[in-house]
Amino acid sequence: MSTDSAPSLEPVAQPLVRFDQVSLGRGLAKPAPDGVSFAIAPGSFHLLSGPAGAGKSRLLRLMALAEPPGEGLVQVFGRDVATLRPQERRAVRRRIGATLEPAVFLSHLSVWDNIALGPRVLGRKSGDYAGEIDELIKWLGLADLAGASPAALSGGERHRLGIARALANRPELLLIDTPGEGLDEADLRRSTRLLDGLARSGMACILATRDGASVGREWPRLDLREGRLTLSDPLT
Amino acid sequence: MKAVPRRARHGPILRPRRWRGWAIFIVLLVLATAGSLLAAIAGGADWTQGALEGRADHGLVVTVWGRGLESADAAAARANEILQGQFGAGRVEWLEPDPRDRLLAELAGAPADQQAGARVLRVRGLGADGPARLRSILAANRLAASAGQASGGRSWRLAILAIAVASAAIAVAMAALILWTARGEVTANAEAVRLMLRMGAERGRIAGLARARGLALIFASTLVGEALAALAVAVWARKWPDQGFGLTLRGPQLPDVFWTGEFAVAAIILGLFAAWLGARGAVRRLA
Repeated sequence: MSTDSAPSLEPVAQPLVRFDQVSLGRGLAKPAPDGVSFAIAPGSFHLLSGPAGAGKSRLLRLMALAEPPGEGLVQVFGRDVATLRPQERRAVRRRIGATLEPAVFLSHLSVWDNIALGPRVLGRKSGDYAGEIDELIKWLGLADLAGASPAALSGGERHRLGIARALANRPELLLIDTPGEGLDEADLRRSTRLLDGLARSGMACILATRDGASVGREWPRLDLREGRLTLSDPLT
Repeated sequence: MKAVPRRARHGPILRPRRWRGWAIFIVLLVLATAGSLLAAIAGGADWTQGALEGRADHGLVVTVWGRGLESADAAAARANEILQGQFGAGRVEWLEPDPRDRLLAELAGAPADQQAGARVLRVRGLGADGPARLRSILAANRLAASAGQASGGRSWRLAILAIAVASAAIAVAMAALILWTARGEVTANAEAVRLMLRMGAERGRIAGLARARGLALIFASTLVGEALAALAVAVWARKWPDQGFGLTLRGPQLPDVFWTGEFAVAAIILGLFAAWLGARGAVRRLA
């Protein structure tokens, strides 16, 4: 089923994310999507696709509380993000793992330290998270690069590093943006499978990519194109 | 599976700026040394001023020294006899020799080259014309002597105040530099700070990373600067070892070393506050 999303909401019980009539207009190169409405359920995986400048990154930034919403309602974990107090905003952000573009990595730190940044700045003791980071880094195939600088990584490795860092705080909502260049189809398919696996374990995941078709058509998709958001789910 | 190397772990979250850090440290060190030295001078001079005023006890100080065949002791005994005859025994007191008398005599107007063999008498209860009367009596009796107020007076107090203010101004300048440094640490790492804020880190924890750099600088520079100033005072004091306790006109004395600590405590407290203020304000602007 493919649905024009403008005025409608998918019927999701207790969604993790809910957009209602949100405008993504400011500063976009393409026709600006207005009145965007959708909901993301816990444990779901969505590809967010669309051409460059369509508003994918803006959508992710709004969900990650990286910028304030303009018009419309943005709810994350049931809270209207426009009315969050600073400590509530921090609490919500701690439940989200996000790698936004352009991805920022601390080049003076090792790959291991970049992944461990979240637990460190949230005040967890190193003994509590070191084992988790080791497991994560191995799972994402970066163990051999643990001591390397992020500047020395390839596009695919940097992408996986971003996923690892976003996962380090065990988030309930994972938002991953992909770079416009430097990521080949194999890397993208690998990331898609990883995130789909995570979603099956209960984490809601959204992967934004310019070319959703190359990943495959078997995933639920939020497609931003020509100023409209279209929801499609191959299973329904 | 290959183990993750331990050396890859726990680098500094904020990018180190080594050359800049060293440059700031050296500036702070120079300021701390100068501030500590000024604090030693002001503190020692203030202590000496108070001590001398206590010894002079609001009286007039008569300094007598030897001339020709008459020794300093003989001249002092003669002056004592003459002055007691003029003003009564209760008003004239021959002070026991004390290292501070060199400065007491100098402040009362005795020539510096006569002080080694000088003796000091204190005369109380004279009016405003006391010094002039004393000087005419001493001159009439052909005594090599001077008479005057032992206090450095208003000009010395103002000088001590000016030195203390200069020392405090240096502490404030150091604090301003620490504030600027802490802000700079945050601004130079703005992307990392925004990233940490997006992860849900508390502003205070992020500010603490920059604050720690400022604190390390203020502690290290102040303590090393204080040690250098104390060393300078000690060397100075060894060069003029007989000037008595506290700062004299000729320079600091060994006990003045302790006044450098006053400056260090003030500079560190101000630095702590400045680092806190600078880092927190900068993080708040980025949030």
